[in-house]
Amino acid sequence: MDLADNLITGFSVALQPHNIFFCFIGVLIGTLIGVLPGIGPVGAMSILLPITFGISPVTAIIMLSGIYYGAQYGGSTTSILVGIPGEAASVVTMLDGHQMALKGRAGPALGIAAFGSFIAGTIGIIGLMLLAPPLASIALRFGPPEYFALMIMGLVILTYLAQKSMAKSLMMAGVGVLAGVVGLDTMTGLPRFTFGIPDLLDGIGIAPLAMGLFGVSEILLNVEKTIKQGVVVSQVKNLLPSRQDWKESFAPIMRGSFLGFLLGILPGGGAVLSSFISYSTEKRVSKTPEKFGHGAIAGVAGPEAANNAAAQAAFIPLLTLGIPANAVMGILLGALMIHGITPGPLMIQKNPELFWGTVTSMYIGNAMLLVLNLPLIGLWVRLLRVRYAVLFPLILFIALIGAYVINGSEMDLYLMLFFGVVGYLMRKFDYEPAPLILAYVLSPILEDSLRQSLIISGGSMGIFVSRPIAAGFLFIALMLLISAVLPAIRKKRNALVASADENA
Amino acid sequence: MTISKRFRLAGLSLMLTGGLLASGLATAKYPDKPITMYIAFAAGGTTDITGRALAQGIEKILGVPVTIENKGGGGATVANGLLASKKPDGYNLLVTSVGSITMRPLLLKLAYNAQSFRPLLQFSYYIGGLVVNADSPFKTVDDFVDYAKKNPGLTYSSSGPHTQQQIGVEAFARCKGLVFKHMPTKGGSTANTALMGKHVDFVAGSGSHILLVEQGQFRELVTFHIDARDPKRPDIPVMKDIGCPPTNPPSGMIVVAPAGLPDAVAATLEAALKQVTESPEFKQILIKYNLPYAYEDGATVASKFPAEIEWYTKYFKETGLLK
Amino acid sequence: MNAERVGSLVWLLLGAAAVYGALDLGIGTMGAPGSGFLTCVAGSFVALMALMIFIQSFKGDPAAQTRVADLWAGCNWWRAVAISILIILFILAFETLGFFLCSFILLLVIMRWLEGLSWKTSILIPVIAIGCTYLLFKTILKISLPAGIFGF
Repeated sequence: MDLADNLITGFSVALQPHNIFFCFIGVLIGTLIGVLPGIGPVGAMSILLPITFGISPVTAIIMLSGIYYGAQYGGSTTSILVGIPGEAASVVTMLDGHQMALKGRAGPALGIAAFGSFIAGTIGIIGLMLLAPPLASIALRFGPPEYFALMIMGLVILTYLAQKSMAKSLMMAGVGVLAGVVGLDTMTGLPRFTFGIPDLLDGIGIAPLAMGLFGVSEILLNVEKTIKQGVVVSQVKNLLPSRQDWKESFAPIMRGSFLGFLLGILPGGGAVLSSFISYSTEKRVSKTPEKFGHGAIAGVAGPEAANNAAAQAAFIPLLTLGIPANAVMGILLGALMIHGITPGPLMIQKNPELFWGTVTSMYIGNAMLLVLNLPLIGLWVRLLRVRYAVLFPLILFIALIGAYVINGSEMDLYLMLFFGVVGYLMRKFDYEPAPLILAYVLSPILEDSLRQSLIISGGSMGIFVSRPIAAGFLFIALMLLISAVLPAIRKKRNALVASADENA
Repeated sequence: MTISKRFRLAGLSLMLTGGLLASGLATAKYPDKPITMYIAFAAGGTTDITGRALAQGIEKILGVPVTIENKGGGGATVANGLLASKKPDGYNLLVTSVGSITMRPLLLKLAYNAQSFRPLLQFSYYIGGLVVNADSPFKTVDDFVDYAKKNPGLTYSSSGPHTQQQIGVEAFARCKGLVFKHMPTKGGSTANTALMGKHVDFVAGSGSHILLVEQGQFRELVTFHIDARDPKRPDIPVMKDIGCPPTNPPSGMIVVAPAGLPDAVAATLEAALKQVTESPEFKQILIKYNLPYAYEDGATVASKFPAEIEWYTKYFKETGLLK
Repeated sequence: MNAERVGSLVWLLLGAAAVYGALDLGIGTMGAPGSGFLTCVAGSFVALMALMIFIQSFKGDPAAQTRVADLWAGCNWWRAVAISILIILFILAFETLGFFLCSFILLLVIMRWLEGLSWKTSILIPVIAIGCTYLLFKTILKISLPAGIFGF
């Protein structure tokens, strides 16, 4: 079928007034939900799911999708403004984004996040249109060995996030892997390190962990000091990114979009992985890597683009194969089924208006997000000028609600506080929480894929090198490791040579 | 005591008893505040959608708001444990699976056991099956058994260890004298994906595979848990057809309340729930998800627990999981 | 006490505890990893790194290193403790007294007592914020939070 025909079909569906209306509602609710840390789009979507029973399937999907990427962007807003990442994908954005906000550059940070997400979304949609079926079949070739190799590469790349001591960051990654072990063992179904607490059967939970380690700990740290002014010390300058900002951000956005799109297709963990691979890549190729961690706009632009592109790419396995890539897609799958639509290879043929209508509505949704959020930047920035003494209790309140509503569990609140204290102590003693969180996300996939691979191979480690994709990732990981360690070795060698020369 | 005082005393005690009776009658009117219905699985799944439909239905009948709370996790064990701790006053209900109540406590130390609940009804059950790729050389279960006998160690994915379907596959294996390698994953769709990508040889289908079979991507070779062939898919045999004893009893989708629920309240709830499940809208939902309509009342469900527990105890002892 | 040493010691203990727990779970073999395999590897790694940092802390200029006491120099650390205690009290109370009521009390106490803001600010701002959130959750999102004995 001609691409132009498909687009026309798509837009004719997407531009119908009631579809635009529901798209807007979805994006609005999604943003509201996303701004509240902890409550993910899953909660909102499942609550609104019954409303969709009465409307047509296309409209239902359009609204639910709007909630999804609305929540994505809302989460970035909170990350940047108050430093509380509500889910794993916002953690990396927060690293430099929040620093920018503290330096009075919240406007440009939010702005580049909005524009970056929009551009990435557009690229993602184009990719979706052109490459959906072939990419989906590549995604299928990712079995346990490929995932394991990818996780190893991810862990190696994590080390590039290190700002200060590499040894400390590596250790934090190790702790993150340990934290990920808590809960039910997928392979045996038996609990590990749950200490008899039923709420821990599902693990610690990314939200209490992230909100505690970053959000609550920051509150505790700030409260100790006797600053009685606003969070932002310096005068707020522009509300939008400057030309210089754009110069620094354009390439990261491009790179991030492609990275995010490719990794987002893989069911499970694609968005998080792509966000910090993007961050590490930008830090590596940047001419000013020392700025990262202190407000480098490339560190916001790249990851934001990556995780928005990944969000779009996550639709591919669902729409083409009927496989939900994450919990959100699972809800969409349920919604499709209840409307009698079976997603899969036949769906594009049998229900073209659903596929193309959804795809084109993503353009509209992304545009709406931009239009919705840009004017709000002024409002958000003004919020930061409020006295910290007034602001932080409100932030705390929002964190408490957000953490509780995820599971309705008291334990999550205790966990958030516990990790808040841990994070507070960690930062005092100069340990970074970011590698911990990111390793925590990778840990279950790492372990499950290792054991699953060994079951398939019958116990032989050779499976990781005999399969090309897996071998490829491991090779890259090895190269990255060597190139990270090499400068240090060279420095030592040069130092030795120099001292030898001196003594000669 | 003077006569007037006696009269006053009598009058007072009459009023008190009258008042008590009246308040007793007043509290006998159930329900008079919102009900919370927990769902033991994540939002968007089959249990979730059916549970929500139930909630909406009984809300209309009982006239009080019924709010849904998802509490997925640990294979329904988290939600089960939570409900077991609630008061049996009829304001806390749970949609869960029979298997998580009868089977799981045998393996894990949990905060509940089969006696912690009063089942109200069953409305459907999960059916598992042995599923291969459509393009695999196995067209019938006999082809498969022949090949598996000559090539032990075929791999299969599942939605988790000791799930209904995985136990079904193992029971099948024991009946036919086969040896498989089990590769657990985190859920039904990840298990299906593993098969689609040809990383394993077959999958212990947990219900979500039916969609893929209909689409022509998978082929189901034998269905577990039911005694007669599905009339919609008459060419797929069941365990009886291939000469095997029935696998584990099917795990029903049930609604429960904490144990100790007063009979009067239970009767009200059971009637309301039954009415909803008999409605055409609800049945439509079941059809859309390829779930069988299988109503059983609360007492029947409860009466089947001991037999199931016995089956699983025997099975786990034979497979060495229990001493 | 040297801050680096204390810090790394804590992680060393954590790593060791993890290895101990892993052995309990069963490590399996390289070809067939058990439940504790990854825990053992990660725990050993953490312990190893911690040990390295611990040893490193003995090198370098002693005067330039921070002491544990220095980390809290000039800090009103008791305020962080107070907030933590208040949060614990909140968690203990909110299921009985209601989420929003307890939030109000929490915010009031923090603003008035801890931060010394005026009564007007300490009451008005929480009321507005909590009120809006309450409406948002009750009407639009239809998510219910514990209502407690006062009914909201």
